[in-house]
Amino acid sequence: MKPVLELKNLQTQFETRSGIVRAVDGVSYHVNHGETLGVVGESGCGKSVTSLSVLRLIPNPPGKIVGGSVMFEGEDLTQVPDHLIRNIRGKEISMIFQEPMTSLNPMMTVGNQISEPLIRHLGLSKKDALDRAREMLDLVQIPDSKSWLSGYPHQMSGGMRQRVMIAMALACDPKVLIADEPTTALDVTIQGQILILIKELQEKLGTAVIMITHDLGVVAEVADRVVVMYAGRKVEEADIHTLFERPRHPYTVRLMTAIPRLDRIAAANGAPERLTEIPGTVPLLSELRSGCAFFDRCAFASEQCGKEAPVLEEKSRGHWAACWNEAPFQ
Amino acid sequence: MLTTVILRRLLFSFPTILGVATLAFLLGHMSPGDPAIAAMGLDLDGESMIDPDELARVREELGLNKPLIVQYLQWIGNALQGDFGTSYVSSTEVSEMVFEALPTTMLLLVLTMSTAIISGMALGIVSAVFRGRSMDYVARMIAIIGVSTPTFWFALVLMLTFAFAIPIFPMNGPVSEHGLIAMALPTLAIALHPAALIARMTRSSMLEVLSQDMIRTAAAKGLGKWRVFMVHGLRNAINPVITVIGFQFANLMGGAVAVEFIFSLPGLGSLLIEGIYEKDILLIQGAVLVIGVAFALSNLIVDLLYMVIDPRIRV
Repeated sequence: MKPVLELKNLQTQFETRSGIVRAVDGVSYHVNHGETLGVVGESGCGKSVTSLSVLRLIPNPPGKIVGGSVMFEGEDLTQVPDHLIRNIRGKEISMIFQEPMTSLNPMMTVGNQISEPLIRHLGLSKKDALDRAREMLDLVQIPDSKSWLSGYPHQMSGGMRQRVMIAMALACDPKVLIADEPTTALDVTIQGQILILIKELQEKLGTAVIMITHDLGVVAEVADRVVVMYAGRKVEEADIHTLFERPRHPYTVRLMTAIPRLDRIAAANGAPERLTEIPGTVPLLSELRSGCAFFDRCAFASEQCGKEAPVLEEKSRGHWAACWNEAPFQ
Repeated sequence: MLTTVILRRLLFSFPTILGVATLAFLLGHMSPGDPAIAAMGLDLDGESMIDPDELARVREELGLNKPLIVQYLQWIGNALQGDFGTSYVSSTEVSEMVFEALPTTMLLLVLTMSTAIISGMALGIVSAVFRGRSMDYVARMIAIIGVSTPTFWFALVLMLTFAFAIPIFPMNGPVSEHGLIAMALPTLAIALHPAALIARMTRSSMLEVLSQDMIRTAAAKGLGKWRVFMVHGLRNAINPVITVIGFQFANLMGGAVAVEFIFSLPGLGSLLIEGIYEKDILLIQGAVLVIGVAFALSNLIVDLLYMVIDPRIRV
């Protein structure tokens, strides 16, 4: 299958007072038509910056894409002129963000906000755009869509606002939807609803989805393939079943053991079990050592790991990992 | 709905106006000098040469011998009906004098406000959009100079430069004599300070809004740069700017008094200064009261503007 969007060796840097921070350090991944790619990692591992770099939404200064490419329909998005990238934003590739409370404009009606990309990209009249906006509100299952067209974001709950964000992002029927932690700010029941909604719409519209999250539970629910990121790099990539069955990077393993499991609690007759956490924190990107970035937190680290950074290797078909350890972990 | 709000706000501004009226009355009566002497058309220094009987007669005639509280109630009762009394000095109705002067001041204020708002906001927006670049530094420099320049001094400098040294504008005199061009220099003189303040507030408010998530959302929709700045940015940044504009109204009146006098424009300011010179307390009271009412109204307009602009404050 030919990928619809492909990142090759993407590098994004920030200039800070304590020096240059390589937030994205040579990341490559792709997403196919109709597929959901999960991108997982702790806060600060560069997953959001990677996705913002795709549409060049990194504030510059201080951020800058310094290398690599983002291929979409034969064009490198890191190189196209500004007015062309604006034709792609919201039309070919859309984004939804983490904070539904602050991501909508409080001064503008919901209908007008959904209409904006329709007027901009499809050249619809204001009236046609509002009609289409109403269809979109129906599509994201907001009841009483007609009256919500003239409603304002502050009258809505967080879940409804995220639905509006999704309606807005999908209004022009984009080929790729980048969802940057779309459920993180919502409570658990609403999280589930939003994930199901995204999945349903994806099946209906055939959109490719890049789902960025720190929550492996979310990934397990929606993703076909997963990329695990750590300290600005991709450390593992595999299809969802392989990843959960045979993780090849210690970081992935630790992320999995940090998820509470109902079967374990049941096995222990409801006795609370202490969750294992990953010791330490993500290293400051401005203070990266030589060798593997996960070295300090890894239980399997050898001397080689401290000296030499592991390269990304195909451990089995379609399963890539950057780790010197050869044996799979259990 | 909106009419209820307007009526309620009008009701609330009534105590303010009453307070202004009371202060105006007290200030007039507490300031040194005897209004009765002024009414007799005598220089205030000539007190010793006045015939005491004559003075008492004038006092009685003008009602100045009555207790202060009685004078106060009488004046305020009449003022509420639009009657500010008859000037002791010029024997003209004060309301007539005030309403004759009002159009000049209103015109000056409208011109000044428009100039200040347009140039101030333009400066602030440019400054915010080109943050950290040379345009920003130039705009901020202009704003700092504007904030720290005294209005009366700037008025004199403008007059010396553009009416005297390079005579493109009339030196002084009313609109009836020169046409609208008579307003050019006074408008510039008064507008500088509020324009600078508006520019500074626009800049900081815009910068705050431009760093918010919704701006990223707007950009992610593929909207053009200026649509993001103006429709999404400015619209959200405007509230604090309106607050500043509202406050400027009070400062503006102060500036207008001095500038009208400097450029000999027959407005409320000139009238007020004339009243003070001649110890014409009814004229002072009338003029101050009208200015106070205008100020209260401007506050009302600001509050209503908030409601029109921000859907979250609508009731």
